[in-house]
Amino acid sequence: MSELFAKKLLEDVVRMTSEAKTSHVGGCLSCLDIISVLFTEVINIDKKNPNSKNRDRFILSKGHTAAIIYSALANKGFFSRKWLSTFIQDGTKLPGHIDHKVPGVEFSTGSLGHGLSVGLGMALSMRYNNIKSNVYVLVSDGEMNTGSTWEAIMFAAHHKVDNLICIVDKNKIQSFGETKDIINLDPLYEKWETYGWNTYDIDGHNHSEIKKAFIDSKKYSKKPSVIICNTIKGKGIKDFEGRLISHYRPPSEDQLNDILKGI
Amino acid sequence: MVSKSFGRILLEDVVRMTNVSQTSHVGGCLSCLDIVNVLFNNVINIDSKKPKSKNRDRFILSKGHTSAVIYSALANKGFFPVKWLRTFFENGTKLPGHIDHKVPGVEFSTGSLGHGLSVGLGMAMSMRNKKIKSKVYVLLSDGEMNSGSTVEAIMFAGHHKINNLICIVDKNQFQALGKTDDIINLNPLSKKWESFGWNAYDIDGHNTSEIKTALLSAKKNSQKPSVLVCNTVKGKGLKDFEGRLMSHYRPPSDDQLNDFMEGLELIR
Amino acid sequence: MRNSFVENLVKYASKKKNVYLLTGDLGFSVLEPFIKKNPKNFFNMGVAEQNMMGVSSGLALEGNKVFTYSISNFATSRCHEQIRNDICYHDLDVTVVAVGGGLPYGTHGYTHHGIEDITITRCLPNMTVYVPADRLELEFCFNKIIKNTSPKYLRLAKGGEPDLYKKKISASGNVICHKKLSEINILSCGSILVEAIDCCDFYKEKGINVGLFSCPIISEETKPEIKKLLSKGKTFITLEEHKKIGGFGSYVSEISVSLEEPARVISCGVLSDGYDLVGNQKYLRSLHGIDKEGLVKVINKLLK
Repeated sequence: MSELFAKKLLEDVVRMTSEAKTSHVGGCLSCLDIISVLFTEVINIDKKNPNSKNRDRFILSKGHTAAIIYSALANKGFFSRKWLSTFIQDGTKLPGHIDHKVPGVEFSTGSLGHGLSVGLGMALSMRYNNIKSNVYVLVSDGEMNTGSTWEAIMFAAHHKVDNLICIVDKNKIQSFGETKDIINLDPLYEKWETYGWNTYDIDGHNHSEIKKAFIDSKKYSKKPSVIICNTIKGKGIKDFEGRLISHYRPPSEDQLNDILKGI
Repeated sequence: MVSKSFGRILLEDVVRMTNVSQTSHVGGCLSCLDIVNVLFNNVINIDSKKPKSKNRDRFILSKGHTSAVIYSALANKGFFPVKWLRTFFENGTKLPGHIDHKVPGVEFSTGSLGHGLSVGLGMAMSMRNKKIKSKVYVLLSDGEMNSGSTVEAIMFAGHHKINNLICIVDKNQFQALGKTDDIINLNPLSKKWESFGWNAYDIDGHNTSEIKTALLSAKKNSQKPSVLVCNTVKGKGLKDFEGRLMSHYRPPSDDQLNDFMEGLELIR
Repeated sequence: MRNSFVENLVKYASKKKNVYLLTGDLGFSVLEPFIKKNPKNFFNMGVAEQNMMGVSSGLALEGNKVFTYSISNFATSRCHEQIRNDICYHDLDVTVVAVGGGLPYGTHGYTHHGIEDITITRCLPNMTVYVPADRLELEFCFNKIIKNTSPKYLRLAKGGEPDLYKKKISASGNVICHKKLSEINILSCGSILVEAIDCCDFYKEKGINVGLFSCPIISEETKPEIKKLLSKGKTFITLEEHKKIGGFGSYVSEISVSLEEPARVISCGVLSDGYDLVGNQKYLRSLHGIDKEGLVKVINKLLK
């Protein structure tokens, strides 16, 4: 199921960024497999009941990769797939950074380092109100530079907010270069462990590994969980894989056609 | 023993200053008093005659609310007249409640927590580029470990191996609303610093020889930035205040001041 | 404009050893010329703006001239207290450089709209705010920035702004006259100047003179020049790609109310209730009524 969904996401994301001639396809593709598994097999959301109190909450903290979430939500029926072709057009409902006015989107982001704190607040309230669902927050590895992310990490661990599940899309590239050259935090999972989180370190493109980590982390109590997903920026577009340009350059028509053929 | 008498002067000044002005924060002054004593007496290279010398060591008090102990240290080191200390917190004073760079010898104003380490880091980076061999010392509270900005500086200094930066954490185990362990428990704290590439010492922050040994060792470390996690007692020296949150707020009473001064006479 | 900034900086740094550039992990394919020539004086601070402002203060205290680079909200809102306490209170030689001032990142959504930055920087002590309209105004500002050792905020648009001057700006003060004082005048701040020029040209063809002054520098020092203009008893329209609250229009109004006979000031800027509109810069300017057509509407009303 997740494999099929992944193909839809791939097609949409490459088409959206190519047609709009816009950036950030690289970071969409690195988290594509994570989103596929999350939205098909893990997260409990329902377009008919989008504000159901028992829904799982999902926050995209790396808000610049909005395209993939818009695609996931459209394919889940939260809004018309036609909207996707209006991505970042004048007067669009779908801005370049994820926006809470879009049906199914819990929170707007775009400045890095905000999402985990917000998810933490939701999770605290849900715990207090005995809501059994989880909060999933997807952060980038670049966001690990940000002090505010660490503020949330420290607080969540201290209060053992175990309904909070953070996913790090560790695609190893941030906007100015390789993450390890800017502020090397490897081994990253050790940092989270030192700070009191239940930690998974997995291949972020292997659906069964992703699924297993999600299921395990949902069951885990006593600590918040983090799933560090080792991924490849630009995964799927050959010339973009593992390259900084995938953060900026939109896919060309040829690249789009290659992807469509492959699917 | 020059060191002890300097420490005693600091003690007397700090208790008197907070008593006379009826102001808060005596607890955090007393917890770091032995650290400041060793630092200013035995370690840091500063000279009241050449306060801007390029080769001086730099000291930043990031926990700016405990300015009294630094004002006392600087006055007694000759940076300004000791009689200024009596004007602490008064209208029109040169010595505001939070440490201020307009006071001779003070490198930087703080008062909002979580700023000092970044500033010290910037100084250290410039000094390294200019091949100035001195050190930058930054004194933090354990409450400041809550601040993301502190973590940003820790990560950056670790990554770039800024080895002329020495941070001292006054781990007095209290912050404004309670015990640090109850608010955000970061124990074991030195492990957290080590995980970001720092050279860490975990010591008794009231044992002057331990403090001195650690500071001298930190000065020699050429690979990494260093941190001294100093385990201290908030309000140390004032019996009713030791290890109690109210030492963060309540000024020493006249009775406490008198008892304290008498006690000092008896001991030394 | 961002590339011109780097060109100016590289030129300046070639003569000085103490120029530092820090970035909050932004400026790909912009900052490279500086990095190449000054590798030791460049640091990518990562996505950590609070630390970046603290570090820039430490560097400045050691006698350096520091420039920090980021996108406008990350450069100002996120680390505002560090700018306030560390840079401004200590009166340090740090220039906070922001790209995306105004609406050039309009399609990216509200998080990337730099429309409150002038308000929150200009109120800080010792601060001068520079808002150049194009490459040449940037050079004009930069020459003042290198002489100014106090805190500075340099608000850039993005890249590809049209040149609005034919030659190097030779104004003696901080206000640049484009069209001489008339009954109705536009005081413009930043790259939105292009719309004001189009508007004035439109009226010129009809034989109506509309005065136009560009004000790229918001500071105490500029106030007497603006005061002098305002005291001539004419009407002034302020124009900015920024919220009306607290921005350039507010600055001019504050000066006006200090006059014995305040001038009539009409403020044109980003509408308070339209903060979340999304689209490209041109589209958004039109919705907020700060493009040429919007100005024409305002002036036509005045002419009636």
